[in-house]
Amino acid sequence: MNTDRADEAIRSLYRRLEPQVNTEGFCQAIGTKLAARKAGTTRRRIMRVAMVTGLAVAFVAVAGVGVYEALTHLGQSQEVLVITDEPTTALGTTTQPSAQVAGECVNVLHPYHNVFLDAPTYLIPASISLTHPLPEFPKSIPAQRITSELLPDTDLRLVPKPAAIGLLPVVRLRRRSLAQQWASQFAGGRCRGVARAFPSEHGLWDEAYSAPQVSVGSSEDGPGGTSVTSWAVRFEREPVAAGLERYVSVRVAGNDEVIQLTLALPRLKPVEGKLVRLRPIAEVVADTMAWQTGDSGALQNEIQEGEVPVNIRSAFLAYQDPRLG
Amino acid sequence: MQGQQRRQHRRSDVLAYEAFVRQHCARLIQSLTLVTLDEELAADAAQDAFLQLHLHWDKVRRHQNLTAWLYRVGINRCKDYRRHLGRLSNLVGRLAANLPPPSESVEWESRVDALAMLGRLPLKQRTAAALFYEADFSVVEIAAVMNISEGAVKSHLSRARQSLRQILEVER
Repeated sequence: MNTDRADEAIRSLYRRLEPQVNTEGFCQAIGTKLAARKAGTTRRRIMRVAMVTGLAVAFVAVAGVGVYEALTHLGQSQEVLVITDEPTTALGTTTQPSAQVAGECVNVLHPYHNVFLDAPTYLIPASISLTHPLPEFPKSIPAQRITSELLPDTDLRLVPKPAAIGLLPVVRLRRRSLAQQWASQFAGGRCRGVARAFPSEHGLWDEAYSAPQVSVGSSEDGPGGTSVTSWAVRFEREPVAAGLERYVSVRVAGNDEVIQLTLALPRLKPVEGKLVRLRPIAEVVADTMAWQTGDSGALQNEIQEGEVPVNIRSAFLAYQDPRLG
Repeated sequence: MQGQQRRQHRRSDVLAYEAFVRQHCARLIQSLTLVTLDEELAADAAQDAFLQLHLHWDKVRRHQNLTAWLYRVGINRCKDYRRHLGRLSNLVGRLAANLPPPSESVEWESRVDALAMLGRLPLKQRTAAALFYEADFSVVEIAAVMNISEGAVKSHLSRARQSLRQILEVER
């Protein structure tokens, strides 16, 4: 059998083997499937549109809340908050027994949080060892304010009076030219990096936590004609108080210099070797409400000159929800 | 005006698709049956291929060889089904391993016998032969459908031809 004849024979074999096909039935089946698929597609499209709309609404709501919070918090005159125990220790290292420390716990309204929250209470026990006595708090300054905390080893140059005092950042929003917007975006990205890196670089945050997120910034004119950008930096930490528990504001001047730092830390864990100025409990207890009633211009602490040689081994602020009794 | 044109365009698309389905469905099912040796499976695969064609009609209609595209989708779908069925039959086989063997032997008709012998061909040879003898594809078209070289198609066809000759001789 040659190839052509074999092909012919095989072809006829295939013709005998091929099944009978009901073309009409098959076409109807396809039509039914297509109709079902079309109905499914329409249903899916409606669902998708509904989902996208829902997400958009949720996003706008969240963004609105975020912007509102940022506008409310950034540029506030309050600065840093480390409330600690009494400077009972003198030269040399001492450690207080835990029972004694517990006895000294005092309920104190946290000045920063009280602005925004329903008066959460902080207990302030501490086991702090000091190598040197703390400096006396100047009598001329109303004591129970926000304690403006400098990190003495950071060369921070605090502005004597916060630029935004008495003004909400929203007032400073203005229409800018395209070129200005481009320049601002470029500088904004840089400042954002500085704001993100600064708290970690200076040991304000435990490296074990995830990288900080810089969320919202607002610009304003700073001293010396420079532009100052305030950034809200948020850290992934366990929630303690809603909204502000992980909040840091870093103000970055045009030359990438951090000029002001605002912390809202329910639990600040100082790092060994870093210097943090401490505030005596007695002063806090003496007039815990002064910060609320005084003249807002007088709320500012003076910049403390010189180094404060305090060697903190450990300190913490224990948060207790007042609703828990 | 534009809306009317669009509706007309869509209508002509539907008609073209319908005509294409009617023209090719029988031959596609028959060819796939002779590849898979399973009519139901072949009909399902053909149906899927036509649904895919409808789904991508705007893009695929300008394809150089639309028929080859359709057969390729159909054959790929058959392979997917076979893989699935293979797993299923393994499972069934394991479950039925302890059952007693059937007491009566089945008498095969000649058609079934021939199909069974066709089933002994390797899948690639069977596919090439089905496309060549049943769908009347050229070697070039088969190469496009199977995504292999023309030389490989010829080799598969030659071997299939040799085996099929034996089937024919047995039939005689």
